[in-house]
Amino acid sequence: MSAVSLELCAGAVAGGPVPLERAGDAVVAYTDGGTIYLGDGVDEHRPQTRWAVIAQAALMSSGSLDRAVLRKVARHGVNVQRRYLALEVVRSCTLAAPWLPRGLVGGLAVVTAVVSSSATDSLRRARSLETIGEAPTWFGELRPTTVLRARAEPPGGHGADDRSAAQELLEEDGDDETEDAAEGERSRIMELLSSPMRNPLSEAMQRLLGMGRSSGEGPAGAELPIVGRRSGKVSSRAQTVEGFARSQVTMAGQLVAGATYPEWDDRRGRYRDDYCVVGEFDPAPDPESATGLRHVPSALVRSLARLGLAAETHRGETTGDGLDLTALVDLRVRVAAGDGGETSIYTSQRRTGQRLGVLVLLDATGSTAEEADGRKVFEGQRTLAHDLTSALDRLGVRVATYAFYSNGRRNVRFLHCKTFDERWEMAARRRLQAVAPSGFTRFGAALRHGTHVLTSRAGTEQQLLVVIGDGVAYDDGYESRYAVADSRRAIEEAAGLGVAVVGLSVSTIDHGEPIWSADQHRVVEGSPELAVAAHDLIGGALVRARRTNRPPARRDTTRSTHDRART
Amino acid sequence: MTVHEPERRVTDDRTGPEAPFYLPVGNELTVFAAAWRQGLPLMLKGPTGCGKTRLVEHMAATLGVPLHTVSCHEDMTASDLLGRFLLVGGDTQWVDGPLTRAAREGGICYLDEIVEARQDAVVAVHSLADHRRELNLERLGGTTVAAAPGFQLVVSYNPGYQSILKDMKPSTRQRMVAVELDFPPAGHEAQIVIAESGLDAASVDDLVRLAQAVRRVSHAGLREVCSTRTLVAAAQLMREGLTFTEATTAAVAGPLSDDPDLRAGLLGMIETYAP
Repeated sequence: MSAVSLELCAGAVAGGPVPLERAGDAVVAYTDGGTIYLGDGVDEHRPQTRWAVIAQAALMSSGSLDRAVLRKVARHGVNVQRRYLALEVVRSCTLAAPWLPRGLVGGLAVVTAVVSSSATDSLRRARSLETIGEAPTWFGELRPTTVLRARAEPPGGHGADDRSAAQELLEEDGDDETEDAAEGERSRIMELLSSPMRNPLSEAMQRLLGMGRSSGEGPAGAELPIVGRRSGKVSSRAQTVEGFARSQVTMAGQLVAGATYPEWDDRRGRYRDDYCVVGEFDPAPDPESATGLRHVPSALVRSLARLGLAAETHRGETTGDGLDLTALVDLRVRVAAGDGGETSIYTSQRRTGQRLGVLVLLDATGSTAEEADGRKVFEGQRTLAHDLTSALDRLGVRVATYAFYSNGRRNVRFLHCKTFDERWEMAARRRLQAVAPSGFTRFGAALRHGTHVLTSRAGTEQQLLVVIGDGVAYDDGYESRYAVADSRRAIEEAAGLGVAVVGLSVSTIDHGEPIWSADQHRVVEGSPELAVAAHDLIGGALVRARRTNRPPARRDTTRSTHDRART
Repeated sequence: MTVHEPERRVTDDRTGPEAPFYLPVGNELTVFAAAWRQGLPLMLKGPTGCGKTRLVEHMAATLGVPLHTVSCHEDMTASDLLGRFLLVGGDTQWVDGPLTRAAREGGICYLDEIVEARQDAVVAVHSLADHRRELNLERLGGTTVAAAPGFQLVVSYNPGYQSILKDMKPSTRQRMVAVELDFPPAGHEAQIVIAESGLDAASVDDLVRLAQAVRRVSHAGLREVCSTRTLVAAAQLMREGLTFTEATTAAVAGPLSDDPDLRAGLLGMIETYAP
C-alpha cells in the first residue's frame, strides 16, 4: 500500500485528482477542501486509513464543505460539528456508494439508518436532539475554519454562475473572516465584476468598490483588464493542462483562441488556478520584409534526419525479410499472363516512419532586443527559429512555429507564424519576419500553452518543444525565484506529459539562476552549431521523454514493435 | 478474418438460444435492427472492451445473417477487403474478400477498429455505404456487385484511440448511422459479469465497485480504463478458485499499467476493495 494508492482512491471518489499530505496536527485525516491531510503517525497500510481518505474525499465531492453551511457549522461547538461530520460522511458515502468498497458502505449503518437529504438537512439534524451514533474514527475530522480559509473549491465541484457567485461573496465579505481570506475574496469579486461586457450592475459595483480600469494594485497599465472564459475547472495538478479543448479567451476585447493556465506559486507551494491567460494572434503582416527564399541549412537537416524515426514496413521492395503476398500474387498473375515484371515482392522494415511533432517557440520579448557581441540577440534567435523550422519541414516533421511575449499575467500572447497544418511557405516566413520583440516574458504560461498546443494539435507519437530565447523570465509580478520556480515547474509538467523540452540561446546567459538544467539547454550561435549539438541535446531529450509514461499516444499492437525498434 | 455462419433464422424468436449473450443498456438493439432493415451502415463508437464486437455478433445471430469480421490494420489494402486473384494450379482465380462476400451473400460485414486502416483502403466501402449499395471491382474487369438484401456494413472504433492523424474521412463518417456505447452502468455490468462467468453476485458486486472506482481515477498513466471484458476475465479467474486480490491483480491491474508507482497504487486500491 503506497501513498499513490491512497491518492488514487481519493481521486476516484472525488472525481478528480486530490493531493495527499502529511500533517502533524491531524489525528487521522482531515481536508481543507482541496488537499487531504493525514496524521503523521497514521499507518498507510491499515484499511481504516484508506477508508478515512475515502470518507474525506466523499465529503469533498458531495457539497458537504459548502461554504454557507460550514460557516454556520463553525459557529457551533465540537459536539454539533462531530455530529454534522457523522451525518455528512454517511450522506456523501451513500451518494458515492456504487464505487465504494462494500465493507465501507456496510459500516455506515452504525451511525444512523436515515440518510440526510442535503448538507443543510444534516446541519439541522446535528443541532436537533435526534440520537445519532458515534462516528467511527475512520470518518476523520471536520475542520470548518480550515476549509473556509483555504478558499479552494473541491475538485469536480462547480460554482454557480458568476453573478450569483459574486453576490454570495459579497454577502460573505460582511462576515468577520481572517484578514487573509477577506483580501483573497475581495480580489475575486473584482475579477468577477471586471467583465468586458458593460453592464450597469457591474459598473455600479465597480464604482462602489473603487475599482477603475487601472486600479491601484500592481504597476499601472501592466495588465489589460480582461476576463477569461471559464474554461473548466483547472485542478491543482499538472496533468490537467492537457484537458483543454481548443478553447477561446477574451483578450483586449477580442475573442481569440487560447486558454487560461495555472501558475506555480513557489512561496506557498501550490498552484494559483486560472491565473494566466494566453491568447493566440497573427503578427501584423509586414509586406516589405521580403525575406527571399533562404536556403535550407543542409548540415542541420542531416543531423536532425534520424531523430524520432520509427521502423516502418515497406512493401514491394526488391530485397527484404518477408514476402509481400499482394505483390507476389500480382507478379505471378503477370507472369501467367505472359508478362515479365520486376521482382519487387519483399517487405522490409526500415526506419523511415516520421513520428515527431515539433513546436518551435521563439522568445520575442523586449529583453531579446538587446545587443550582445555587436549583434542583436533577437535577430540571431529568429534566424535560428527559421533554420530549425526549415530543416524540420524539409524532413517531413510536423512542425509549428510561434513567438511569444507577455504584458502581465492576463495578457500572454502567442504570435502565430506557422501551425502544424500550414505549409512553410512565404506567408508563414513573412509572419516570422514580422515578429518584433516587445513586452516581457511570462515563461511558465507560455510553456504551458506551448505544451498544450503540441499535445493537442501535433497528433504525433513523439513531441518536442524547442524554446529559443535568452532564458530570462520576467514579467509583472513574475521575477527572480518565483519566476524561475514556475518556469521549471512548467518544464516538469511538459515532461510529465511525455513532451521533450529543450532550450536554445544564441548568447550566454548570465542572469542569475538558470531556468534550464544543463542537459536541456545549449548556447548555439546559429544552425551550424546546432547541427553539432542537436544529436545529444534533442536526441537525449526525446529518449528521456519516451521513458515517461505517456498519456495520449495509444497505438495498436502492430506499433509496439516499432516502439521497440526506435532508438 | 473470420467468417461465422450461424443457422438461418427459422422461427420468429428474436434471440435464439444460439445468439451470444448481450444485455442492452439503451436502444442500441432497436437502432441496429432498424438500420439493418433499412440497409444503413452503422458506426459503433465506444471504449475498448465495452461490448461492440459482442453486440455485432449478437445481432448477426438474432437477424440470422452471416457475419464477416475484418480486424483493420495499417497495412490493410483495398484488395484485402474486396478480393484478389490467387494462383490455383496454373490458373488465376478470383477470390472474394470479406466485403464482397458479405455483399453477395447479404451478411453483415464488420470492420473492427476502422480508424486503424488507411483511409484509401476504407474508401473502397463508399459505394456500398450509400444509396448505390453496390461494389465496383475494378480488378475483376470492372464487375459491379449489387448488395444482396440483408447486407449491412458495420464499423467500430474507439474514440479514445483517435489522434488527429488517425480519423475517418468525413465522407466516410457521414455515410454512417452512429451508435455510441459506453461501459454499462453498475447494475447492468454486474448482470453481464454474472452471466458471462457464473460467479456469485456478492463477488461480482466487489468487482464492479472496483471497476467503477478505477474508471473515476483521472491519472495521466491510466487512460485505458478497466473494461467490462477485464471484469469478466477477473470473474472467470475467481471461478477457477483465485481470490479477489489474485484475480483482479492478474486481470485488471496487470494489463492496465506497467508503471511501477501506478501499479503499486492499483494494488492498494484492489486491497481496499477486497472483501
